[in-house]
Amino acid sequence: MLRSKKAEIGEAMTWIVATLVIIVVMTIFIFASGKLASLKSLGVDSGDPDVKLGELLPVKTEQALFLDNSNEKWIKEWIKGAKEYE
Amino acid sequence: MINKKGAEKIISVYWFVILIIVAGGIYAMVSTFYGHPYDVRDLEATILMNNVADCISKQGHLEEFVFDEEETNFLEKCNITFATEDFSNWKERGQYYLEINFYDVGEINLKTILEGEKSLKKDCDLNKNKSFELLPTCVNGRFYSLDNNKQIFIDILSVVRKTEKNVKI
Repeated sequence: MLRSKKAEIGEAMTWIVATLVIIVVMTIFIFASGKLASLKSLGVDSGDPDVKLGELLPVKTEQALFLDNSNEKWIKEWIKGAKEYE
Repeated sequence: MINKKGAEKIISVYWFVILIIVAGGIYAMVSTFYGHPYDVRDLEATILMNNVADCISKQGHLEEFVFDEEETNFLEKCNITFATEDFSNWKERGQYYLEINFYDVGEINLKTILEGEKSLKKDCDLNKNKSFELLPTCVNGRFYSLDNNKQIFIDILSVVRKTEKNVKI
């Protein structure tokens, strides 16, 4: 009778611990998916690597520099002065 | 024997509880991830800025209409429309702002073109590091071009709000 009781307690403890492990793992996964969701964003550099949206303005500048490159250093410094909102 | 049957019943109930916990957890994970919208405002603002740059400068030369005093409808000239869908009072308040400044070599402002909702600009400085995602997204770009062999420097500020569709509120 006592042995049977001990075995039952042992089995119940195993299930309780297993339940706790499952709950903890699920909670971690839910938090992780929330964190990943907040990172969802389509930026300028994402997507098709052949389409580089951030490269159009430098190309425009290069085209004009090809025609008139006086003050080139100053122009490049001025362009670098654009505000970064990142 | 009776005891064993009782234990089996309890275990089967327990299995259902675990099943519900796991299913609920998976549902929570999927709905959290897919319920969060993609933030494409940065991309949209960059595309707007690129379209403007492409419209005003071609092959290193500024288009003639840029400094034409009679040309007042810049957006129409560049085939840009700021119309948005009627969503969350978007029609009442514009969702875009565009500011284009033209400078000469001495950094003297030659012309400024302002289009869209002007009140959005003040939020750009507040959101310098994009730490407040509820504020509009701003993109600033500069390039160089020529106007009748005169060096012109162009500064474009493109702002997109559309918070309700890009951020989980």
